[in-house]
Amino acid sequence: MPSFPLTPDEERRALEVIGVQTIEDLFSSIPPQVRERAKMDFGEANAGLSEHELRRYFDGIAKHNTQHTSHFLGGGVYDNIIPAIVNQLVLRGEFLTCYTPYQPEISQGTLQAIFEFQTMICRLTGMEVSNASLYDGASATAEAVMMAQRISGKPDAPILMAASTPPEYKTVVNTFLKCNSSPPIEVPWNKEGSLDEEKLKSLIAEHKPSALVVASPNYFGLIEPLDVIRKHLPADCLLIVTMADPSALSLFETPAALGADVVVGEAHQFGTPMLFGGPHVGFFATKKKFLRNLPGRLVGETVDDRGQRAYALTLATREQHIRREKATSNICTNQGLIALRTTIYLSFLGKQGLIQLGEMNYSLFDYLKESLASHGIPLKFKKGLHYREGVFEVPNLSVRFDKLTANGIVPGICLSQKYSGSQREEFENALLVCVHPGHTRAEIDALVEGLSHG
Amino acid sequence: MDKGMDQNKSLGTQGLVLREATIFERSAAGRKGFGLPPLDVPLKKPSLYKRTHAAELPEVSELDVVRHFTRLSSWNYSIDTGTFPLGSCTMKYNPRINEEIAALPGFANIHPDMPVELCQGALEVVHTLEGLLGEIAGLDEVSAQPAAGAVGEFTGLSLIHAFHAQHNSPRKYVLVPDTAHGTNPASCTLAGYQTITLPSGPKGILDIEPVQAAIQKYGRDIAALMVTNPNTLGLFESNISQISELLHGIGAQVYMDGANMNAIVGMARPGDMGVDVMHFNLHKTFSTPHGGGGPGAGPVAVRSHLAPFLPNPRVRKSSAGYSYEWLPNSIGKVKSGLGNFGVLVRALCYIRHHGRDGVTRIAKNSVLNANYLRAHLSKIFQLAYETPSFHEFVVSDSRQLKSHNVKTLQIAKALIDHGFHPPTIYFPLVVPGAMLMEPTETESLQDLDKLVEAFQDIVHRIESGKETFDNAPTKTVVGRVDEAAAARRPVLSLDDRTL
Repeated sequence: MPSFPLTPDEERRALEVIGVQTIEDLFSSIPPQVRERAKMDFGEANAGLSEHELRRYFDGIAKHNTQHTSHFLGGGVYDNIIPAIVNQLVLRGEFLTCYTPYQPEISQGTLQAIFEFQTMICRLTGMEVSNASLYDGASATAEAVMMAQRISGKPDAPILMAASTPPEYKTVVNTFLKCNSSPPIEVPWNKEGSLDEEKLKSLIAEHKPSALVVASPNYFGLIEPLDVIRKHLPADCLLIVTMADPSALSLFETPAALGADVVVGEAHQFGTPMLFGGPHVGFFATKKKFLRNLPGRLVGETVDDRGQRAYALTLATREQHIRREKATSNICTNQGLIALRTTIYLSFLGKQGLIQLGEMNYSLFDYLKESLASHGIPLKFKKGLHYREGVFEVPNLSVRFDKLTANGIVPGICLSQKYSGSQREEFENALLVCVHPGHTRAEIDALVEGLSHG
Repeated sequence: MDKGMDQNKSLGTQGLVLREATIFERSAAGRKGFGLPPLDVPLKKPSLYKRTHAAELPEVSELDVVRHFTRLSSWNYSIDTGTFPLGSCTMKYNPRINEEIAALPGFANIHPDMPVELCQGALEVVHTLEGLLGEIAGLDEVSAQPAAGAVGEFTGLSLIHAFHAQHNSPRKYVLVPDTAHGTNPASCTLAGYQTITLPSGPKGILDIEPVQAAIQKYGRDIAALMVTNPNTLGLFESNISQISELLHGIGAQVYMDGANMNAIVGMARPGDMGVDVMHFNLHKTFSTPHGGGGPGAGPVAVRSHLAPFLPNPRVRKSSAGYSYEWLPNSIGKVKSGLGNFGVLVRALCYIRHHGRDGVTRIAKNSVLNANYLRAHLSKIFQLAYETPSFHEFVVSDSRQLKSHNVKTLQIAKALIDHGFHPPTIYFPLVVPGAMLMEPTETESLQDLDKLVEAFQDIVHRIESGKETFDNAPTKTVVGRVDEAAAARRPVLSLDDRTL
């Protein structure tokens, strides 16, 4: 049982002050038949556990998750090396247990950190304005699509979306659009795994979309030719670039420079563990001219009544607590603590460190790619420009996958599980393999060895 | 400022607080920060689409980073610092064992695409938590996937949308009482529904008549009623069972916003009141830290007729272990992975820590504390409703406004100088000058007494004509912040600065 502060004496005193006999009297406005039926059975959890027992219970559960020694999973969630200070600093109670910074005079720490986060996202993506973060990359993508529909003035405006966007992102966008408009129209990938430009042109002519969503790197690890894609788009069709892995911005040109209107994505790999998929942190950056249409919170710099620099949440008139049913989004929170992790991580990694990180990912994948090729396992999309992950055609995949997994090496994501219909057939033997900066040459060699036999 | 403020009564004082510019302003060209491991394969660089200008991140040392963020943290008020009577937000203490458990490598370092046989523990956490939440809700199935309360609302409304679509009964309207959180109407819009606002009655709760009138007017175009119980005035919607029956009579659904579950957990179950679908806010009721605005989690619980539409995938348990099931009629995913897993671990830890009886004590003690505070504060402030309160209550500034033209905002800011976080102010909208207070069960009577003394001191100063607190707070690292200027000319990143 946890520690409750109230003593029996204090309970009596409180009841006296209130003027009732028992605590139960305070619940008298619950209808008796509802009150009587409130019988819960937690089974083995009926009794509370002490801290010691909690440790034993959860250690037992967590142990079932640590049977592997190395993995090559990516596809939108990326393992990363987390500096000790990130974990330590976010445990400071003043960050961990503070509230949304609606009272700026006692929230300057959170507010300034978010201002720094916004600055970092702008500098990474090249965009002019960033919000204070969203739930994750998938929901940020959905919010970007809905913003494009708002800007177009038609809540059900057609949207194009690259079929090579991470499958999780596509299904989340579909769910969020479902009640007010049709799902996005998918633009297929070409034989090299990049956006099919011919199909794009015909789909634009047919549907007059208000936005195109492209992932770059896409789900197959390929950098898309955003500048070329931009040229195919009419002026009023927004280019939304979604980045499940913004660490690519260490080496590759910013989406802003290539013509993007909105850049969204997922930033957890900057200092937050994989955590079985969350909590992570979505980012949302765009041009200043779309400021009034932005979803989510924003922090702005201002002054206090002593003339000092100060920060505050701003432009809240877009938000649900003011605008209610006319708000730009129903979002009420950001991912404060995870955005803070991102800010601490990027501060410590720094300008040179970020480039080094990108070069590591790029070089490790290059080594993996060459090794696999020399063992008869080619990339599926050979001509494309890859960053950190790619699709490989592995003979006898399911047998080799199971054998490696049984030996504690999880070799990647079997793409046939992520697609249906003809796409599933295309990916029958396809494995999405991803490197992360903690990988050693020895680990990659062991993977290559395991994937080449059996 | 009144130099005579009684320093002995006030918790707030001025310690040494350090100034700190942005992290970018600590930067020095060429200074290296975090060291990555050495690369043991040949270095390669891309030749196409190369970035032409490096992103201008800071160039700082480890100590620079630690000092910077430690200084920033000292400018925040938090639960760990002091009492936080912030209504509607359930700012209770977060037991630290939750943090330790969520950081276990077996939870933190698991990729969501891990083959099921290698993530049985993670699936067990989700499955166990969903089962316990279902028991608390008195409902049949739970999805822990929604990332926050607002996503939970959208998910629940989407389930209702899918249910009506399956019955070839597309509907237009959701009834929402005027006491609702702003997210409720915003979520209705997102789910394709128009909001019909229902007025609350003289006792602060929803009467049966406006529901009957709406049913008369809109009939089977009503998709659902969306109600928070206890509502945002801290009052139990005691007509809920009859109102639910009325809605079920026209095939409409009852959605309950579970933001205020802290008041009734173990004492009343939404499923027993006729609720068809609800969401929990794990970061409120089940004590995962607010973290300056997230992350949270907003699981939804449903009666069995809505279960076929729940977000994919479902976690199932059999003799062979845990596995995924993909429902053919699911509304789809509302979040990557299975949700904010790290938050789910914390909530499960918290519930197991309390056990069944401990969970009920949460409600009892939070309601006791709120009523204790109400008994004291209703002597100095105007109580909005005499109806018995649950875990929170509303007072207003009307006495102080009438006598000395001092508003809620001034009172809230004055409280900061006494060392307390202000209550929720100007919400709910139905009470002009509202102060919504929720002390939670983790505050001791000693701390509540100090809060009462602070309010008494503030009111005494107002009513004796000594102060109007226009310049409060004065003891904080920054004074009253010019929020209007922030909105007039937005400076949203360092690169927006013109100086």
